[in-house]
Amino acid sequence: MYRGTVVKVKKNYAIVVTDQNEYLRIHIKGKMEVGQQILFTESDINNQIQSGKGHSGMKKKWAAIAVAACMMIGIFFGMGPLMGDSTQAYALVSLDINPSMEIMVGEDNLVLSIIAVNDEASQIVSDDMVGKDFIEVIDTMIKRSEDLEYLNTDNNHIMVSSASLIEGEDNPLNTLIVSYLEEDLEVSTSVQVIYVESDPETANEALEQGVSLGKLEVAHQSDDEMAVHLSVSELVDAPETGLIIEAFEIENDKEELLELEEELIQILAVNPDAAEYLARVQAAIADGGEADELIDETEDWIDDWEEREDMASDLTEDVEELEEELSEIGESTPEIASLLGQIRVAIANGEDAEALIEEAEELIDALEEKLDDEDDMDDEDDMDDEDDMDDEDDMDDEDDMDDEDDMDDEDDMNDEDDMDDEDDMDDEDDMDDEDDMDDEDDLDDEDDMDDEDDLDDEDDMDDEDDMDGEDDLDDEDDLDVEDGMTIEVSTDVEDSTDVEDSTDAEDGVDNEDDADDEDDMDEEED
Amino acid sequence: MDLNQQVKDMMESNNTEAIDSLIQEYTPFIISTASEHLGRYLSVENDGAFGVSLSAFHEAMERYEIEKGNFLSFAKLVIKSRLSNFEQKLLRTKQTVEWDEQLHSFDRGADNELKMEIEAFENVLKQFGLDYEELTDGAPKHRDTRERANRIAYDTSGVPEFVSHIYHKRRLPIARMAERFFISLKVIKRCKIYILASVIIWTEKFTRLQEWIRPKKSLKLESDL
Repeated sequence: MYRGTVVKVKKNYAIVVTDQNEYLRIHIKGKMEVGQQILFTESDINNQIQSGKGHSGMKKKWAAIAVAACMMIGIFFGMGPLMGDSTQAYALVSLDINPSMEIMVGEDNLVLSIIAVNDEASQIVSDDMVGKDFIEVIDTMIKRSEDLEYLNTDNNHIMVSSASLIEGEDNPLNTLIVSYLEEDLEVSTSVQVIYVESDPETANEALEQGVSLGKLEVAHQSDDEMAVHLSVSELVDAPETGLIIEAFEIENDKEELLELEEELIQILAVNPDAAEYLARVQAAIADGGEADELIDETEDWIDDWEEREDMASDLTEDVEELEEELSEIGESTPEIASLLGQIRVAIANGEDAEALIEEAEELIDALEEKLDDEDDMDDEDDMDDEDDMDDEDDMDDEDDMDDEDDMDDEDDMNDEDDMDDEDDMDDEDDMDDEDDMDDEDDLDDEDDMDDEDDLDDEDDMDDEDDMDGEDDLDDEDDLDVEDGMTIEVSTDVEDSTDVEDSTDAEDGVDNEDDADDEDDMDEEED
Repeated sequence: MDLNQQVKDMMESNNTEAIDSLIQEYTPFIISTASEHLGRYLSVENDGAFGVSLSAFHEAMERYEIEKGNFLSFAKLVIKSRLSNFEQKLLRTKQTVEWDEQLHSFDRGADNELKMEIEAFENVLKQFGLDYEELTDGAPKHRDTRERANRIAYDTSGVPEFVSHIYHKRRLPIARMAERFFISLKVIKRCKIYILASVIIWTEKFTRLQEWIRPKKSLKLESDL
C-alpha cells in the first residue's frame, strides 16, 4: 500500500510522490488533481511509461576548463586580405584556433568572402573556399590547421562564433555549426571546442575593428577589452574570460577506445561479461576505423554495470544487517532462512531484492516481537481478561453497525490512524538502521577507490576550487554572460533532438552534464 | 493453513491481535477493491469510503462461513455492497451543508496550500531545466539511496556557498560536496537530479514538500539554516 500526493496529471497517467518520497507514475482513476493525497496499491503503478527525454545518444563531451592566472598581451593583427564580394552577406562566422578567420556567409549558406585576421590565417585560407558551403570550409580550415600543426596537443582549442549581420534577424547558422561540431567534426587529437553565439551589433563591430567575432564577444561578455588580443588557449586560461567559457571536448575515437579498453580490463576482473565488449573495443582499436556507436554502446554498458554493482552492494549490506539482527535474537525460522537465501540469489542475479528484504525485515520483527511476548507472558495473564471484555464491547458495537454506519466510520478512522502510526514508526526505525549502513557504505566506497581514483578526485577538487575563487571575483558579470553562452549552445543542441523542450529548460540539464564530464575528463586525462 | 480456515479460526477464537494483523495485511486488497468499485483513488485523509471498506472487511470476517467459498471473494462482495449503501446514503443526505462539504472533500481530497507549493516547485524546477517527468525517471528507486540523497540535499542546503553555486550555475558543485560531506562522487552523480530538486525544496522553503524529503536522522548541520 502506498500513500502519495499527486503532483502532475497527464492524459494517461499521473505522477505521485509517495510518503517515502518515491516518484511513481500511476494509472488515472476518476477525476484526479494536483495536491490530492491518495491511497493506492502496487497494481495502480504504471511502469510502462518513461518520459521521452533523457539521453539522446548524442556524443557530447562537455568540459569546463580549469583556469590559471596568466594574462598576456596578444599581438594585434590588422585586417588581412579580403576575398570575394561581401555585399550579400547575412551572417558572420569566426573560427579561432590560432589562425583566426572570419567567414562571411551569404544565401544558401555559401561562403561569400573570408578575412584572414592574422598572418597564420593566410596559410589556411585559399581562394577556392569562396562559393562553398561554409561548414565544409570550416572543416577544411580545421584540417589544414591540424596539418600545419597549429592544432596540436598543446594548442588544442577551437573557438567558433557566429552572428547574423542583419539587425533583428535570428542567426540561422547556430544549429548547423553546433551539430557539425558535435557530430561531424573528426580530429586526430582530442580538442576542446568552444562555441560562442553573438549578435549583429558585435558582428559589425568585429568587422570594423578587424578582430575575431568570437574573441570580441568574449571580451564584451567578460568586460575585458584586452581579451580580443589573446589566443583561445589564453582566453580559456585567463581568469576574467576563462570563467565564462564553457568548452566541450571532441575526442579522438582511438584515444577514447584506449580508455574504454583500460576500464573494461578492470571490470573483467569481476565481471566476465566485459570480455565481449573488450574484444570488440580491441578489434576497433586494431581496425583504426570509426567507432562512435561502439563507444556509445560500451559506455552505456559500463554505466549500467556500475549502477547494478551499486545496487547489489547496497542490498548485500541490507542482508548482512538482517543476518546480524538474527544472530542477536539468537533464533530463526525456516521461512526467514529460506527468504534470506532467496535474497542472496536475487542479488547474485542482479535483481532488485528490495521487496524481499522488506518481507524478511517484517518476519524478523515479528519473530522478535513474538519472543518478547513470550517473555512477558506471565505479566499479561491478568490483562487477558480485560482484553476479552474489550472484545465483547467491540462485538456489540459491530452488531449495531448496520444501523449506525456513521459511528463506525469514526471508529474505523481511528483504527486507521493507529495502524498508520505504527507503520511510520517501523519505517523510521528501519531507516535509521539503514542510515548507519549507508554511512559505512560510503566509507567503503571511498576506500575501495584505487590510488588513481584518489588522485583524480583531488584533481577535480582543485579544478573546482580554482573556479570558485574566480566565482567570487566577478560573480555578477559572469553570470549573465555565462547564461547567455550556455543557453545558446545547449538550446541548439537540444532543439535538434527534442522539439518539446523549452529553451531555458535545457540549460540546467546541460550544466549538469558539464559537471559530470568535467569529472570524467580529469579521469581520462590521468 | 489456507486463508479461509484461518479467518474462521481467528473469529471463533476471537483473537483480536490476529484479526487486526490480518486486516492490516489485507489493507492493500481493501483499498484496491474500494477504489475499483468507486472508480477513483481513496484519499489519505477523511475518506469515509476507506472507513466503510475497512469495516466491511471486518464484517465479512465475522459473517464468513467456509461454505461461502473463497473468503476474499466474499469480502470483496461485502465491501462493494457496503460502499454502495454508503454512496446512496451520501446522495440522499447531500442537501445538508455538512454532508455537502464532506462529499466535496471526498471528491477532491486536494489541499490548496499543498497544490500551490507543488506548482511553485514545478516552476522553479523549470528554471533548472527539470520537471516532474525527469524527476520520476531520475529519482533513485532504492529506498536507501533515496534516504542518503535526502541527507546530502539537506546538508547541502545548509551551506550558503553551495546554494548560491547551485542557483548561479544550475548544477551541483559535485566535487566540493563530495569533499565536504565525505561521500564519493558517484553517490552524488547518480542522484544529482533528485538532490538538486531536494535542495530547491529546502531553499525555497516549500514547507509542505519538505515533509517528503526530511532526512530521518538529523545530522549535524554544516551551518545555520
